[in-house]
Amino acid sequence: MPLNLLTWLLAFSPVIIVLVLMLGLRWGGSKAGAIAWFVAVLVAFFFFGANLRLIAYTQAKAILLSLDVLYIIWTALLLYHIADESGTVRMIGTMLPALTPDRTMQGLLLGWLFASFLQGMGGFGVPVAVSAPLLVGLGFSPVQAVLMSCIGHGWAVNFGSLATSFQTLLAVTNLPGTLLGPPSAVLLGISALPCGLIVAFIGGGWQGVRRTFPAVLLLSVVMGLTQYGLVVARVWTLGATGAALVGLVVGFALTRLPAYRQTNGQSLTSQVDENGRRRSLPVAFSAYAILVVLAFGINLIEPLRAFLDRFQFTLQFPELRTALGWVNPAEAGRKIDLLGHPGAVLFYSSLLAALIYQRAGYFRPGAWKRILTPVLRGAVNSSLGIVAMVGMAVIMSNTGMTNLLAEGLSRNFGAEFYPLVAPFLGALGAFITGSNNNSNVLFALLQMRTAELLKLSVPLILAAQTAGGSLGSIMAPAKVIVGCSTVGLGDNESVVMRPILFYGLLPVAGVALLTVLFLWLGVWS
Amino acid sequence: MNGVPPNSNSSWRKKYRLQVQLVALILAVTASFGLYTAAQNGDSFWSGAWLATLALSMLLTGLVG
Repeated sequence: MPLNLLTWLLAFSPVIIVLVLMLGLRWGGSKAGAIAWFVAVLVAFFFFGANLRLIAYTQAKAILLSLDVLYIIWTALLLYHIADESGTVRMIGTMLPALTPDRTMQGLLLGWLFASFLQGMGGFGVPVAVSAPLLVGLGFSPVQAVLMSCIGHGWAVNFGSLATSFQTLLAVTNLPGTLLGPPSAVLLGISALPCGLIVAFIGGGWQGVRRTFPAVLLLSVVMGLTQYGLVVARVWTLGATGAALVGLVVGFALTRLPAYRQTNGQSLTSQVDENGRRRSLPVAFSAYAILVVLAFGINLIEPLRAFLDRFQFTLQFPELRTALGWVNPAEAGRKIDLLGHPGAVLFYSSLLAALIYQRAGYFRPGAWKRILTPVLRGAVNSSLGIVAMVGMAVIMSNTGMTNLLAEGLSRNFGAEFYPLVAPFLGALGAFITGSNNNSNVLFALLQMRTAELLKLSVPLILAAQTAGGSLGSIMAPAKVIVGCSTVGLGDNESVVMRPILFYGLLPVAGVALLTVLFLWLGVWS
Repeated sequence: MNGVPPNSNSSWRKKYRLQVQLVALILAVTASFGLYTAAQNGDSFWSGAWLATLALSMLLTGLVG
């Protein structure tokens, strides 16, 4: 397909439809996604040489990717509603104010540090699905909660989920992690600062930013250096987890400082519920403690990992070719670890937590109906949105539409401006596909070749790609749908989409400027 | 009763929304695997039938999503 304005706009049309329907007409993600899916199929058939066989296989690839995400959505909602039924969410809402009365600090602890930690442990939407409702429980509005938990973990996506996105970058480009790791860790480590500041601004306005700036700066430096150290030590799989864990420890220590100290004298070891019964905090928090222990255990205990890895589901796909010559090589589809998947970890955590709460008498009669009804209501609509959006994205990718989009962007910018564009291209890929990982699959080779042609630093441009993908993934409609579904905004994602595009693009712009600066300084040349 | 007849179209959507969404989701997942099987067998008829089923699922999603 020749590249010109018309073909570029045709390739962009499904994304334009999503943007217009969600941002302009305030449609929900599932409705907009369904319409965009139809547009993608029609454009693929009539203009990009797709045939029935290609669409059939492409849709099967898309459903595998969707199921990988849906596994987490359903089980994250289950864990959340079990914890909610037990009163844990309300307890966190009373405990955090006891830890620090500063609302901005509370927002930073949950929306920035805890969300980043969850990204390191699981990712795939878990940070938003878990921390957004907790923020609502603290009294933040649903829109604030989704924005804070989305923006807060953006810097941690690339080295989160055991660095799956970074591993993909290495696999696609066939370059060593020792070459690509340091620039990626530096760009994302520095990005922790704007992510934290934006969370502080959303949670507490300019006053909140001014008050918490020293804490945000210190935490950013600590987390950035920890992540850099882990990456340089070749332990990039724990880059985000380790950094966020150190950040949480330092964050809790900071709440002891006079500026943020506990003032209301509530006990931190037990709370009294609305019926006057005393509840133990360790028991109440067991759901999340079990989640952390299981996630670490399953990922780090090699024999256990190897055993669980035996139970995988995938499909094989043959080479697919459009009538216009775009070729998708034969490949295995997304592997779904049935027993070792983050969704499975959430499911085990849910069952164990439910058992503990039941035994502790935290469930009232009719608890399971109150748990399962909102799980069903929240998950079904989100699932439809994700199936439609991912279907659209994979059709665009497998028919060469996404490649045409990227080529159009890169060809129109020279060596002077391309470094500014590179992170935005990564962010665009993540926005369309909903994943830093998929953005790297789509655009890493294109970015590498463009950098070679323009004689730019390949490691730095690839770092800008994956950093842009990491920060851009938090703006993806698929992720926003997940967050909205857990805070009662299931039909109203558009109220989050507008501000998230504004706030989300700021750290990406920061990465663009840093890329230009590092190129100018000749670092990683 | 306030005397105003409810909009039958919107009340239908409200009443059966979750059920229709569930049907749409089940159809989408089933049709996707159906498409894979039909493509593996090189069966154009079933590929077309499953694609129509998937389109129906997306249509339902567009209506009640």
